[in-house]
Amino acid sequence: MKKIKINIDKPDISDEKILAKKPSFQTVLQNFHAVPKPFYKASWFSGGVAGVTIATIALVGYYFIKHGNNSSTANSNNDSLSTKPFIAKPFKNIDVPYEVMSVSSNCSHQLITKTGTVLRIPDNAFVDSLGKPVTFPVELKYREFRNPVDFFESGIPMNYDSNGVHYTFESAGMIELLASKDGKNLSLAKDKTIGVDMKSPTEDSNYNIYYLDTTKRNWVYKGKDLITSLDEKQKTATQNNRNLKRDTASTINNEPNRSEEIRIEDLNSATSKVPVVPAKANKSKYIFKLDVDLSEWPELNVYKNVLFQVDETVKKFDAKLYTVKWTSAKLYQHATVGNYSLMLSKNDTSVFIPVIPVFDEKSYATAISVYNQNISKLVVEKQERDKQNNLKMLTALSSANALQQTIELVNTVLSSEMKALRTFELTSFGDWNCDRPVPPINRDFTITPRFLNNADGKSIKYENVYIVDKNKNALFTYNKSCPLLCNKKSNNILWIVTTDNKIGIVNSQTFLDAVSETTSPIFNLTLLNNSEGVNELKSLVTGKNEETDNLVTPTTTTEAANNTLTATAYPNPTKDVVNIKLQQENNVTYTLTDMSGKLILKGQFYDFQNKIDLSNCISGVYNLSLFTSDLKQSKNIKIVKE
Amino acid sequence: MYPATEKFHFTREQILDEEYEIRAAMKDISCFSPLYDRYYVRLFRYIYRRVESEDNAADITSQVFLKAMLNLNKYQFRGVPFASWLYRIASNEIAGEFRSNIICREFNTTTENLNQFAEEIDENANEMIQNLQNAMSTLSMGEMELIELRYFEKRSGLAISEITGLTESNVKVKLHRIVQKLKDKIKNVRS
Repeated sequence: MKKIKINIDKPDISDEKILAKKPSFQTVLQNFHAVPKPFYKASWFSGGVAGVTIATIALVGYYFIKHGNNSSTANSNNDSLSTKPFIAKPFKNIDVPYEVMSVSSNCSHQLITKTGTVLRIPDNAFVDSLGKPVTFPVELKYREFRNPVDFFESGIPMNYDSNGVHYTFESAGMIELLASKDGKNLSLAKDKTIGVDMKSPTEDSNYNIYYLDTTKRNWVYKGKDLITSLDEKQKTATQNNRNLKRDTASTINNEPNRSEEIRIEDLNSATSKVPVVPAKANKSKYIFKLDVDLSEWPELNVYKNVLFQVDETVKKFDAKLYTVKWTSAKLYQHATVGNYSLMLSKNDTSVFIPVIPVFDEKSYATAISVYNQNISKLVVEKQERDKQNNLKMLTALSSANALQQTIELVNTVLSSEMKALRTFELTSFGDWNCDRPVPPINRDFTITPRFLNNADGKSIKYENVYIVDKNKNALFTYNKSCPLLCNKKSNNILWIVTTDNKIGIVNSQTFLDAVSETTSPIFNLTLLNNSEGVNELKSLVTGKNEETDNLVTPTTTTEAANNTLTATAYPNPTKDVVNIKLQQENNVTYTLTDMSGKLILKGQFYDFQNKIDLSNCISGVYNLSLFTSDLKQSKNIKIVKE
Repeated sequence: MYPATEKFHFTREQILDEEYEIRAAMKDISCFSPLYDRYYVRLFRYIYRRVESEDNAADITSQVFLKAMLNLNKYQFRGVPFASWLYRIASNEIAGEFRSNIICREFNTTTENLNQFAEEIDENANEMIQNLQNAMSTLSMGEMELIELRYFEKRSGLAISEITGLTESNVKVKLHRIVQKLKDKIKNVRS
């Protein structure tokens, strides 16, 4: 071990001396840009990988079609996890239905789905696999996954691997958006994003946005969403509606008005940009006069004498900054943060201030006239564009009206369940999920269940076990070989899918009764065929049909009362040996587990009178499970070791 | 010596302002410069207290900022000052350099802070400063780091937990045990 050196009263170093050593930010920035990006983050790589993946999929698909019979047997032999498709639907005939929409023209769109989600699609958003823009119309397929049964049906994995730790996602809403043209999948153009306003039943801010990367076989963290309470959104929806009506009447008020921004944005075209609405300077606020080259900002460049007023609604302004003599200033625009930001710097410090462009009283009047001129010019331009696209516009408007009505309808239907609106941006097509990883707290109860068929009493062959905790919008999937973790106290619904595609369901009451007695419960299931089963699950999980919940109970009972094995254990509590007395049946299998579910002993009793030696075990409570060879009868006994 | 203690309890506005700047920098890295200017001196001192020479400190400071900028997108807003994150990167960086024998790790403190720490351990503080120093030099690097953050730099439990990545209660438990260990060692020397 290296020796530790302790210094007392090391001479101090002055600020000036430190600043003399400080590299300028420009040098740091240069170093930053000089750092080579890892190859897998480079754009050519992701593009290349996508291409290679598509090619591989195509090849594999071709192979399957050609050698369909041979490969299917080969696949069943090699049934390991890695060869399974990442998105593995449990049933071929059941899936969450898509809503199909058609995008008719190449201008920006606002689509509203049946569920009330708003999709804002920019112009020129679609490209084919080679990156070329496509001709219209384009077909959009959209669907939402709202509850654990939807996750189950779709087969989308709700697991998240972060640094080797496995989490299960709790979802506040998941959507899938795909675009296609003549049956070929399209992708989103570079630098374009699709804005999504998704309704969500929760207002919690600790959900993140994840994108399902099917090549990396994991969810990719994509940042945070913007949450708006739904009451506010309804106001803006009516405002949108008002704007839409004005647009159809094509009357344009010359008075600059903030609420018209949404409509005015339509005037933007590739060649010209709508100027900023002029605002009067407020004399009580801090104002900067800048000598900035505005050519970068076409919306400001039409004006002269633009001043920048500090926007204190975004960030508090320190009055001291106003007295400093700054040597340079730079203007930034951040659409999501604020309108504009001003970066002031002098040799060793710089500050970042949100600003809004304003005009003093003299130039305000000229600015207004410049604005009106520009607007009228743009309106003329737009009207010409409109004439060209007249037919398209008409259909778009009528559908927009219809959709507006739909959203109002949906708002009234969903308003009881949906509390917030989550806004985020898609950078590619596929599955986007608003989630949080479920912390493992509370899910601390391990069970190893067995499933028997009610019809013939044999044990059921299955692959995966699914558990839904009714308090959480999450689906926990476990492989048959893994022990299940659950929160004993909450409302759990468990189901399995058998190898012959049937569903066996354990409802919450049965589950609770069973786990309160033992860690290795035996469930007798009546198997349902898959569509019946999924319907059953929907009513159980969403809790909309309470009657069915009660009806199911008798079909899935544990052996708690009827088929109890008669057995007694004594002395209990014990110091070393426990005697187990069986009455009617010999050849009984027993397992001894501790309270955490760890297996301590396992074996068989052949006599009526048996002994178990606990002298090697530490003191505590143990669970002895006994079951007959045909598994029809069982008993659990708690044994206390002193 | 420059006071190592820093104001950790920022007001809500200050943290929100900072968040605004960080979000801007996430979008455009050239907006990182206000953060760079604000924290350069502070971070330099933090590192200088831990390494021998000024040149090493300057090198590591640059590396820390570069790493912070490269990984800014991974930064998560938890309602604590941005500085904690930088200190954490700095601590890891120093540990890395120390491991590869590039630097000599130092622990610096003032007489006043050391005396206060000594009083915490034993009432007859004046006699045992030398003993304490000997006892401390047998501690592990990790243990010394906690002593440094808590007693030499007078940071709060919350701040230490943000820098080290331990939970606040774990920090307290560990510190308690380290102090107990030192007490025992000093007792042994005396007897």
